[in-house]
Amino acid sequence: MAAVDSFQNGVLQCEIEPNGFDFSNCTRNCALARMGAAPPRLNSTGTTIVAVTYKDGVVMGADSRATAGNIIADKHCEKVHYITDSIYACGAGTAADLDQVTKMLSSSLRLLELNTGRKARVITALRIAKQHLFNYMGYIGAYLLIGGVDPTGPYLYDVSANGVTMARPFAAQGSGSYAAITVLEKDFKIGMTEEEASNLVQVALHAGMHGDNASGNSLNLVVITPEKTIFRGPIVPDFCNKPEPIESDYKFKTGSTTVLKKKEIKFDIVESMDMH
Amino acid sequence: MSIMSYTGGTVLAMAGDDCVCIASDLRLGEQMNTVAVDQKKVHKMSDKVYVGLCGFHSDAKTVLDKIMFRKNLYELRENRSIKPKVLATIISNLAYQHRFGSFFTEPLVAGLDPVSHKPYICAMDTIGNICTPEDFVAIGTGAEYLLGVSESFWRKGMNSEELFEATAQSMLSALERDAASGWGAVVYTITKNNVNIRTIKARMD
Repeated sequence: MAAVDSFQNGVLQCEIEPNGFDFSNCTRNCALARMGAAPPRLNSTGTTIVAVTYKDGVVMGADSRATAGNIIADKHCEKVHYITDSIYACGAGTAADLDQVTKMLSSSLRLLELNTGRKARVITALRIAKQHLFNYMGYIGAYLLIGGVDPTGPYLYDVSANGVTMARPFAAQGSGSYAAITVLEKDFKIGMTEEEASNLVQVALHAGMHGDNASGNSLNLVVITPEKTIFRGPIVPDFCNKPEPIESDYKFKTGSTTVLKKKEIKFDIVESMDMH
Repeated sequence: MSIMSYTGGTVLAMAGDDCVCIASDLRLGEQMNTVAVDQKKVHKMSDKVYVGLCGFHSDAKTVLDKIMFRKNLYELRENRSIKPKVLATIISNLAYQHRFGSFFTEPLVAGLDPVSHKPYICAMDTIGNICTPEDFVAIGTGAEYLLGVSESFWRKGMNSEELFEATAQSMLSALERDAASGWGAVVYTITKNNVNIRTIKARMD
């Protein structure tokens, strides 16, 4: 470790202790963009996310498709993110941003819980998220629905990438939100039961998955009540299954690919206590 | 033209029953010019963990050095060999560190857990969004073709030989239609007992 320590204040500092973003490629990338090179395609969640508050809790749900342009990059993308045991966040927008923002939220709230000895409140999650996003002026493309139950009651908040937040009784976000919000506007009632709320979320998600090509494949649900949190998924609705099962599959006989050169690395079997 | 297809190249990984396959083409180009025909895009990280890097080749090299540095530092600190999932997180964090002004390279991780031998495959975009399907992942200029053809060729619970054939044939099909990749392919089959590295016969044009 002595050799490593001598790097601590040198050029490798950012490699050893990464601290915030590294903008060293920006000049080059901007120059390339000015030359007319198209930027790389990022994974977007291209999403339908829906959340509803009911009598004593919150139901949140999301589809599971991640897209890069018109390509389905991930069929089972997890968009219902864990924040604390009783706070979850659904995300729409740039997939990498959502992963990192929710990871940051869950770790800072866990630290807060350990330092204070109390359960974190939803408003705290909201404040951390919005201050982070406002700092980056909307360039971090995370659109979140943060919901949960804390000792002061059930809450649901809508957070935009630029830092605008709203408290909501029900909400939908993402490219499929137009279809989903129509269902919510029609059928949402104050003081629904858990079953009514989770059915409503599912129907709204179905609407989003039907109407929006960037949403689909399957859905995940989380029901948060003061007593417990239940995660359900992936649920595959009937219309998301392949029309008919494949009758014949492609099986290649061993040796059908011509091999020009072959090298084998054999492993020595080592019994060791240090494996774990 | 995008920087992502400037040098060309494709990598595919498939997961089977206690084994994974990772395949790459061998071409390195400058737009339509081929400048090298022996450029593997798959790199060994440890006995059973391999990483593929596609996209702009010079960024891929830089990123590979950075990954190696962080991986070595991890192994020295923790005194144990790296798990594929941990490596994926390291690479993802590295890529996200460059969220604004990214490296023009998409990483892919394929390997077996050094203890449980559970297969792990994942691919990322340029800013480190990990996607971990159970079946197969593809990156690079031929990713679109690979995803389509692998959808038919992949089956659940393939053994290492079946998996090799499926991976190789998917790769060969994609190389038929991708002008930026080609000049042969190499397939690594990782099982708990050995790694087989096979250069397969492909069209050379």
